[in-house]
Amino acid sequence: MFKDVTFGQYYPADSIVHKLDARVKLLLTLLYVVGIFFVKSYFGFMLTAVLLVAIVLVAKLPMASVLKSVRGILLLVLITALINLFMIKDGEVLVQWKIFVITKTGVHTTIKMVLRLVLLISGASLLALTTTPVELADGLESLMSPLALVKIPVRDIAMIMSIALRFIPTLFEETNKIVAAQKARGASFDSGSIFARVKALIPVLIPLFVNSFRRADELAFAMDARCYNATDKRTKMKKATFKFSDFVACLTVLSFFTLILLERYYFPKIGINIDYMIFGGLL
Amino acid sequence: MPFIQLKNVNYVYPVREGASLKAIKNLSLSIEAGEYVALTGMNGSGKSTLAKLLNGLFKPTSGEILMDGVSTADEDKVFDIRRRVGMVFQNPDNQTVATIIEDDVAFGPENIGLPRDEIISRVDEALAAVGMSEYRKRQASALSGGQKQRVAIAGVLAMRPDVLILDEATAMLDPEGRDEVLSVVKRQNQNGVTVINITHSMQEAAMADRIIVLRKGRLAIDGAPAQVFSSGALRSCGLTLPPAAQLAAELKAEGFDLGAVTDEASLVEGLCKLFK
Ligand SMILES: Nc1ncnc2c1ncn2[C@@H]1O[C@H](COP(=O)(O)OP(=O)(O)O)[C@@H](O)[C@H]1O
Ligand SMILES: [Mg+2]
Repeated sequence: MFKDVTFGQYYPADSIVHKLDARVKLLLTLLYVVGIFFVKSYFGFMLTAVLLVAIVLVAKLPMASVLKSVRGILLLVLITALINLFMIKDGEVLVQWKIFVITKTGVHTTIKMVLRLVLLISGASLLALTTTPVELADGLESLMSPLALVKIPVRDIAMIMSIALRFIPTLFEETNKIVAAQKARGASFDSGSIFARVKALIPVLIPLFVNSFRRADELAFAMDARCYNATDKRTKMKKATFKFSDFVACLTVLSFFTLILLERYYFPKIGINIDYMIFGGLL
Repeated sequence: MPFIQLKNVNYVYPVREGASLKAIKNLSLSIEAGEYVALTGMNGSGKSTLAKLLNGLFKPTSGEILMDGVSTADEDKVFDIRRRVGMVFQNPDNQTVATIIEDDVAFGPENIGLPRDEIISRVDEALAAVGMSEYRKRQASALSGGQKQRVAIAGVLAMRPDVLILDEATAMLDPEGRDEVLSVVKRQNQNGVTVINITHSMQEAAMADRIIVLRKGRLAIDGAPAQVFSSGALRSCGLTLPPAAQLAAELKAEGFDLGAVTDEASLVEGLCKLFK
């Protein structure tokens, strides 16, 4: 039932992408996400997809690991797509049946929206797939360190985040166990009305919550026993350093970002429409 | 002076408004450096509470605990005591803070602010001591129970502790995992680390130099395994003898005295002597 959740799960591999400075990865992911929202043309989406596939290959990740994280939002994508498809009423009408109208603009907007969501989630999942929670937390801590000056507990926030990520697989494993135990007692999760199904989840959620509190309690003792908070001068085993490969990564994503902006704002001014050059009358 | 010294220790849990629960009652005992002690007793007898008192996670409500002459109630020394008295808990999943094994082992040394090179050499050393070096870059969640507990022990060893406390650390493991963990612990004890192994298994307790039994928060029995098993006092603490000692006790009741029996080896020895 909850087997295929990979979001937030690290995929160990020996690659340049894995070894990049987590701070660089965090910032570049942010830039990528912002970049996607500037993409309006099919050419732009193609460019993004090429970048994404290139990163996946360099990172030595199986395509499936990236696609799996998309699977988690499939329902969301589907619903948004349907709403877009039928709600957009302007432009040339393609199909009309009773009150349902599908227009050319609607089709284009829907396709682009699906592409944007899929590329967004896959791109963001690359960060989690190639960066351990500890690196991620350390990177975030380092980026947020100026906030410590205004008394924001940056280190604790980073620790909380890293532990939350660490416990995602544990909690899914536990959920599966509880579901199996309830099934063995005759509970049914995949039949009946939506109301009945939601109700069937209650006996899963309650033990999950109770166990989580017990876990948190034990973990707190374990952390204290290992001298958490012993000193303000906590050190780090892994020191992130800005390497040549980080420079190359920055250059790549920055070029991508620049190209996206150029294609959207500058090319139309000088009369270049790449989408038209590629697809011609198809659009 | 003994390494660990408890003087009239009491510990009370505040349960609800007004109510309280006395978990440790007037406990006095001492443990020498390098001893291998098994701490046992029924559920709720106060073993875990005592463990948490020993490394300063709890402070005695009254009385005093001295660790190498330093009181665990000394606020300035509490982290020094926690570093010197390492704890491994029952559920491996609830004591792993990091996803990657080497990051988890480094957690303690990072907390006490050791320099980076020192942390790396300690992590190397600790993982080697528990035989998990080749797993260092792997994810903890993919390990077997016995391996997870060995990593937890490595996390403690990276702090170079004087005392290693295991609070039912083998209770959730299969026999193989249990043997892996116990042999690591045995080796640490031979290297001079004082071991306190909290367990319900009398077979495991028989491996110790000394067995301490708690009953309702009080010290009930304290002695060498052979002496504890032959005294017949375990039953009154709600515990049963290990199979070998049980057999020896039943034979003794029939008039066949095998002498001190703690495990299979001493049982065989006793039987051989008897039949000569
Ligand atoms: N956090 C707590 N709050 C209140 N009572 C507790 C708490 N933890 C343990 N106790 C009680 O203290 C007694 C000793 O518990 P514990 O030390 O966990 O025993 P053991 O480890 O031998 O099973 C038990 O009666 C238990 O119910
Ligand atoms: Mg206990």
